[in-house]
Amino acid sequence: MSKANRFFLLIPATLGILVFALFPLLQIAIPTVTSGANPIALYSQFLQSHYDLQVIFRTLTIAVITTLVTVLLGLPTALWISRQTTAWRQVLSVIILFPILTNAVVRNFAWIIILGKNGVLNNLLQGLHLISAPLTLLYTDSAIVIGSVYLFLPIMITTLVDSANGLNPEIEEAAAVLGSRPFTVLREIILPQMAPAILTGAILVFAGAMTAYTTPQLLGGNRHLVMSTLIYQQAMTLGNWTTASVVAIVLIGLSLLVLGLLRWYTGRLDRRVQHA
Amino acid sequence: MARLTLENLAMTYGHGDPVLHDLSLAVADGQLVSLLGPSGSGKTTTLRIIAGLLQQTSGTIKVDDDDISRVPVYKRGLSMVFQSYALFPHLTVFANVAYGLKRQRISKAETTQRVTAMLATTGLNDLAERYPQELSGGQQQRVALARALVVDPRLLLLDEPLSNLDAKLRVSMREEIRRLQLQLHTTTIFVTHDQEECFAISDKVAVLNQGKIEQYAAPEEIYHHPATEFVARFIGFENFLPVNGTVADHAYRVGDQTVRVNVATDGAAKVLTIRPNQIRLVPEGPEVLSGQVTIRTYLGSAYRYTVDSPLGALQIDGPTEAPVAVGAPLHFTLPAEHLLPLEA
Amino acid sequence: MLDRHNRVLQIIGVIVLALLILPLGIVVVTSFGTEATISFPIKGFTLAWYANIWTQPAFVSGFQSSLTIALLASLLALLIGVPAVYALTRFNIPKQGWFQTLFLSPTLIPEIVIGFALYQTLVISWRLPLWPSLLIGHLLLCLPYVIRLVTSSMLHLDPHIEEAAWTLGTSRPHAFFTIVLPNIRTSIVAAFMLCFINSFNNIPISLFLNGPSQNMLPTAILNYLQNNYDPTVSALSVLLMLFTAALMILMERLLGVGALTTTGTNA
Repeated sequence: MSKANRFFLLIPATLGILVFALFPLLQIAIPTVTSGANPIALYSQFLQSHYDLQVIFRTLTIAVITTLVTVLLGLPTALWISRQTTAWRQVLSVIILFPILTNAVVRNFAWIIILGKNGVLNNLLQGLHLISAPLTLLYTDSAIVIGSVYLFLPIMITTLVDSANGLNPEIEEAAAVLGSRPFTVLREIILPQMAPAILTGAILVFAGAMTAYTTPQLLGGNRHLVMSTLIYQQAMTLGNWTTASVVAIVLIGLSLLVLGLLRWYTGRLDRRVQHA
Repeated sequence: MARLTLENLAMTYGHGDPVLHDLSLAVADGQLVSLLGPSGSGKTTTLRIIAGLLQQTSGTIKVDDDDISRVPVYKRGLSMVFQSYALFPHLTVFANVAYGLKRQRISKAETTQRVTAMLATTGLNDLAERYPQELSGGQQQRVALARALVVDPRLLLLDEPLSNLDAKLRVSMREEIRRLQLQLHTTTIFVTHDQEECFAISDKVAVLNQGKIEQYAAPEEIYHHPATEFVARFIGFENFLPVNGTVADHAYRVGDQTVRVNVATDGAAKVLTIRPNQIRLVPEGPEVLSGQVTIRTYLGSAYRYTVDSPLGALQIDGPTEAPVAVGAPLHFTLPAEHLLPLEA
Repeated sequence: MLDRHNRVLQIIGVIVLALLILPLGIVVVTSFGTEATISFPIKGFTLAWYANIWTQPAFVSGFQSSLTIALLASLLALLIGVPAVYALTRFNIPKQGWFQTLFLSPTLIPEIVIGFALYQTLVISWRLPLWPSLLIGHLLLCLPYVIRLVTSSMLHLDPHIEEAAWTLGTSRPHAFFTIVLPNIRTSIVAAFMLCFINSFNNIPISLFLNGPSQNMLPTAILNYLQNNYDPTVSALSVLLMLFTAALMILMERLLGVGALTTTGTNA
């Protein structure tokens, strides 16, 4: 096989990415540094705006809370699933997978029905006489968090189930024989072993929640913008192309920064555990 | 350091057949007792019930005079070494060994001192800061043992601890286990399916079959006087001659032959058994049995012949200096002092 | 112990499972309601909203183009992805890690940014029609799935079996089609399914690249929801769930249940 032929097979994919992903990215990035008074003028302007900082803060907060909640709910669920008989485990895995493969619009739409002013939850609470007037649940930051948790929890669970399936039950038994109660076993033996998987899940969920568009658009409305909905609004509604590009670059930068940190930390954990 | 008493243990999973029937066993202080049996004989189940990892269907477990039958696993104060070693992968060797002491709220200073001493005893000093994944199988085994022994357990439980080691390491590790056990005088239950292994280190052996104890005795007793055909088969007796009746005092009928034994004839005997190397090869003559060699295998120290004889197919060992060819006749006698009548 | 009988784990597990399933169940119920706006519980039973779906041209044409784009993008991703993976795993390519990173780089760019950047470059600068722009966007979405799944299966495949075929007189391309391809079949089917589903469900990329002339189903629903709150969307959601279920059954038939569960982690 000649040298040229070897690379021949790589050409379509390489060109495709360079021309259709990296070049367009450069094309939106360049004006953000050339059209201001100095290269960082647009960025400092953006980061000094109270409104824009609020959007960044909201985006990060929603992503962090979503990640934490999915870990807290996903971990016990994953442990529970991994401890079922094989047949049950497969049934449960399919139940978890179904939402992952279902359209995000459908999944968020379900929460519009539940959280709306005349929605399922308000009707239920009023029916039980717990509240007298409907609560404002939809079009709030909390609604975005609920929708994001609903969207990403199955991904966290599948990631953690994989890891929990690989745990050696004798290790937990060894801790129990040495005097550890079940909760101590969970804290001191199971959690540290699952830490790399928890971080992997956290990376997936954080990246997803931080950049998601559909959930904040449907459940947050126009007043609770996050960075992704801000990009769309700036570009398509207001026609501020450069501003949209600035937000886009900041979004990429922030998500890469957080993911880089999480990955670096995962790497440290992996070195500890996988020294074979 | 304690006595262990199992009384009428029974175990049934769900609606299945019982895996333990009415099992009783008494282990004296400081003894090492092996539970020997094939897979499915209930030996690991018994061990896990003693540990508290399984709840027996009925029966009692006592350590000295303490009834621990319903005590949860984390309060039993025992130690266990698992087949997979079950070391905590995220903790160093030192932290693994210290784990049980931490649970007992032993002071930091005493923990350090006891762990260090135990690491020295088990030859792990240099590995204290390593993680389990960085150790060889034998080293992991030592850590598991050190972790179990450092807490001064009332009882040490070993679940096939040597089965993941290669043959050479197995021998040295079992000697190490015996040395530590004698040194610390820890009452120990050792589960294994390897007859040689358990004979080598046990004070007493309980042979298990289908959830029942077939024989509970010292290794020498079991080796020379297996109580049942199952035990005899499990420890290397190969020839089992069905008894058709009693001919005279000290003589049984097997097929159409008369076979003499050294012990008083007993109407209850059902089979006679003898090891292949106890059958004597002799020149042709009166009172000598003959058969034709059908298979010959080389064992290193001897040839083993499968012989078609008037008593049925027999396994007979012969010297390597004078091999007998397949198809040739083999002449032998069954020494009365080695023939063992079995009742079941 | 923390086994399957542990009360705490069981309670949380059942609640979480219920929370995952119930919202979708509510959507199903509302699709049969007789009132003009969505209500739960429903007062009467009707199938009228299902019929109403077909009166919305945006939904019908959106479904057609979503289906077409998803199929084409998945196929195209396999067509350029599989050869690249083969070259990376079987030829001694210098800077192999760089190529790997390059091919997976679209996953590091938020989809909304991909959509925005493609709109600027393809639609505004190059004046490309929407349809090919959409296809390119979805191709970028799909390619990393192909690269990831097929690479892992190529790495698990013993390179000696291919060498065995060459020693028996098979040419390299022929050996690829007769020996390699059948053995990485599962990962190719799985990659195709994942690409298809993710492309079909995608919103952020399509959002920038669709227009009045070029509708995609998810964005059509999104637009419809801006102005309407009637059970038509519930009915359409039920159909989409059935579509998902059908795809899962198809995957199970093609790949087995085990493959279904591992798919989740890569989704």
